[in-house]
Amino acid sequence: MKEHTNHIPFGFWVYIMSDCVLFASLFATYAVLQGATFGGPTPRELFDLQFILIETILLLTSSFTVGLAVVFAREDKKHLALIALGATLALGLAFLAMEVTEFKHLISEGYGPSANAFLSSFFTLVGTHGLHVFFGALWMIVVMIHIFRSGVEKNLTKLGILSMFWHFLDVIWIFIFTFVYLIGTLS
Amino acid sequence: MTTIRKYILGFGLSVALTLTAFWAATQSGPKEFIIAALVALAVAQLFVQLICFLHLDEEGKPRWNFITFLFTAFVVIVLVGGSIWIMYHLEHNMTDDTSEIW
Repeated sequence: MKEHTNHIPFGFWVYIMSDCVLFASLFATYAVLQGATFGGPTPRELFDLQFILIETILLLTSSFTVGLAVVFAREDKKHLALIALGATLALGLAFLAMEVTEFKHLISEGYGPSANAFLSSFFTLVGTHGLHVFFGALWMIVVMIHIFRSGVEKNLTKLGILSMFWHFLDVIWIFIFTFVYLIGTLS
Repeated sequence: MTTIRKYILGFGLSVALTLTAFWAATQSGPKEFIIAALVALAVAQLFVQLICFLHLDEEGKPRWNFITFLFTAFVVIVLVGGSIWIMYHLEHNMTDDTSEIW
């Protein structure tokens, strides 16, 4: 059993690598189509950097708190681990709430994913990342319930791969805020 | 370095790199220079998070995680770089004076 559980993190790492390739294809598509605004507003005219900075700090902090959760769990500190996971979840949900607000605003102005190729690729890339965060949050609730019920020791592997997933989402976000939002707003 | 110190260091460095990037994007100056700086900051933050959060440096031999990461990086560079290269040339070959097809 122990040999089997040693392979789980590597298997999950390989899945994370495949997810990187998925995002690479979405980035490549966005790179090619970002100029295709069909006469509509450019990224510079649509993006609010202060808003994105807040989102970025929320997600980055959640990556830190999930790391704390793993440290606490390995020290058999169940309640601290649950608090750290709760903080991670709250930060992640705050990030999602902001992103949904941004998307709703764009769509209500007529700049939804069907408006032009730039927006199609934008919503697909950023939306796919958001979906990953959403499912990660659901998974986090489940893991928190498991830890609450049966303690940390039995759930160390689960927590380990969840934290891997969560860190990976922040890594992808580094490239989203850099290439989509920051470079997009350069004149 | 203890794990928790690594997380604190990683978090601090990532915040600093993020704030620097957002600041750089608002500066006036040659666009290519700003883009180069933003890319460098992003890659730096990638390494900070790979080492401090994802512990890629703590793996003992055989370094399977590291090798699979290198292979993935290769696939990503070919996929993204190749797509941009091909599509850029395709657009040029289809829209400009066709005596200058690359």
